[in-house]
Amino acid sequence: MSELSTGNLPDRKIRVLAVAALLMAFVLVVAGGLVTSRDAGLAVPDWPLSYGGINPPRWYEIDKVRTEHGHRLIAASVAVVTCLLGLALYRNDTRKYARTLGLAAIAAVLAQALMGGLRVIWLSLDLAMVHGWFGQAFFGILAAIVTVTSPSWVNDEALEDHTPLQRPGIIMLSLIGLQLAIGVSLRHMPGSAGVLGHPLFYLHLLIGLSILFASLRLARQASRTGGPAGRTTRRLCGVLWLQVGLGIATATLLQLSGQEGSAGLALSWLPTLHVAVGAGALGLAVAGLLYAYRPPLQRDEQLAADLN
Amino acid sequence: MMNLLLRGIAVTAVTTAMLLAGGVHIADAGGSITGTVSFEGDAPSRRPIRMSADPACDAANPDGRLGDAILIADGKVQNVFVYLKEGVTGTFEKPTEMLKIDQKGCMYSPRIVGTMVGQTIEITNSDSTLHNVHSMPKESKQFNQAMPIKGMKIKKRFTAAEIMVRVKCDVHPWMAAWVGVLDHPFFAVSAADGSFTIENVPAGTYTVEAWHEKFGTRTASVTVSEGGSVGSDFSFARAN
Ligand code: HEM
Repeated sequence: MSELSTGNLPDRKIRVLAVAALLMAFVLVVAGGLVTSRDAGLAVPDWPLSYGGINPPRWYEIDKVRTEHGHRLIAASVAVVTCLLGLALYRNDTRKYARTLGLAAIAAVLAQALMGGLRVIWLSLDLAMVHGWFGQAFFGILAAIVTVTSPSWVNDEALEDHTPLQRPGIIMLSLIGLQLAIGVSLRHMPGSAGVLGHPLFYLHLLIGLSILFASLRLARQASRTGGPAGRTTRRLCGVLWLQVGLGIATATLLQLSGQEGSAGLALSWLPTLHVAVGAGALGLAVAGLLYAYRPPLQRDEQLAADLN
Repeated sequence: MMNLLLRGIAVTAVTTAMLLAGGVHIADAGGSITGTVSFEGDAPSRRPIRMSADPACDAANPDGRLGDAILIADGKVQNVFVYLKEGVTGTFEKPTEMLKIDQKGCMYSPRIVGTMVGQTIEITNSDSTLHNVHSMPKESKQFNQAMPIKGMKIKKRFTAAEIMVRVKCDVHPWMAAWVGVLDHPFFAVSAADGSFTIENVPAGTYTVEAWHEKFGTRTASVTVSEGGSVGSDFSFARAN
């Protein structure tokens, strides 16, 4: 059943695999965020084995080991699903960009796993930062795959004019990417000065306010645009407003507690949620932009496929 | 026979010259520095450690455990690292015996130690749980080593002098040890009664520093005479 031509709806198995990979990667970003928030990154000092074995003794009973080793186990399953997805796309999808995305996802997940391991072995805080940032980028690649394999990517509704969302979409995606990179860096700053003590925090705040401002304009533009581009962009704006709220709550909590990285429940979950919703915003921004730039030749190919 | 005699004289002469010129010292002569470390004012109270992050640590301490960063009894401070900071010349042989650090009851024992550059440090895990030993020197290479099994021992050494190197366990965040790494053997750690003795110090004038992980440092100048004992007391107070 290889009726996958450009613009045709890909095999259901691939779509399911893509959505599964994205959902699992979201859980993985949450798990990774918890590792940073709980300062558990070095609680398992070796890699690729953990304390010399597949599973360290009593790992699920010991808080920090459960957090770090759990992240590794989830990462391993995400890596497997991503490799299956990438290979399936490469072998079955006729669209060059979809095949490229499949290979990019495989390369990204392997590079990310390697980086996570080297961060531990080399005791490198710089690599921890790059790993955090790249985790978001990997999530963005999976969001792109889910988008180009989704039914709305190939249905008629998607053929409306989305060009007005292109430029503001690019600006928004760039702002979100920058904001995530600064946010991750901020989470890896040493010192106990409290979040307000870091100059980077003020840059994060400034870009956050710019995103809020840009989202108001983007929402107005999206409300005039139908189809999946308008719909996705409207969702993006909603998520961004939630994210601004989470950001304010996180900064307030961290400042009041004065102890970043503490194991307290709210102190580990609230910043992690802020990281995860950030990934969600990036995914929606990628999807919205892809819809806005969807290749116009889809219709002809859809018709050709229907006629066959 | 004559040859042997001449050779003996030559060896003795070279060894004496090296010692006089500040070459390799054998630290078994000289005087000593003794003193007591006290605390002014009310001693901060010791807080109980919450070990619930690992049930095995909880089980190893059924009656609970108090933090040991500050140990003060009757106004005397334990675990102060006292060493010669300035004035030492020459090179010194590192001891052949190993410095031993144990992980027991999810605590380091001892918490404050001194070692010479290159001296072997043997670290043991006496607990029924896993630990990792993570040293954080700035002058030597950091290490972070898994110790998952009870009875496991590892050997490490530092390659450069540094006051003080923090050692921690990333699994049990309350665990901390501090290692003073020196290129000479003139250091001591204050006992429960606050007393310390640095022995075999070559005659001369030195700056002595007393280091406490919470209260900071104090210094004093002392002059040691051959065969004599000089006193140098230190006093800490609450950090502002
Ligand atoms: C393969 C897919 C992986 C993804 C998508 C991923 C994602 C993430 C994310 C999003 C974070 C949080 C960064 C932050 O809070 O700012 C994180 C943290 C972390 N990850 Fe991964 N990770 C992956 C694999 C691994 C692997 C295989 C390891 C193996 C050791 C690892 C080790 C770590 C560590 C140690 C941290 C905490 C860094 C720190 O010390 O703060 N990760 N990861």
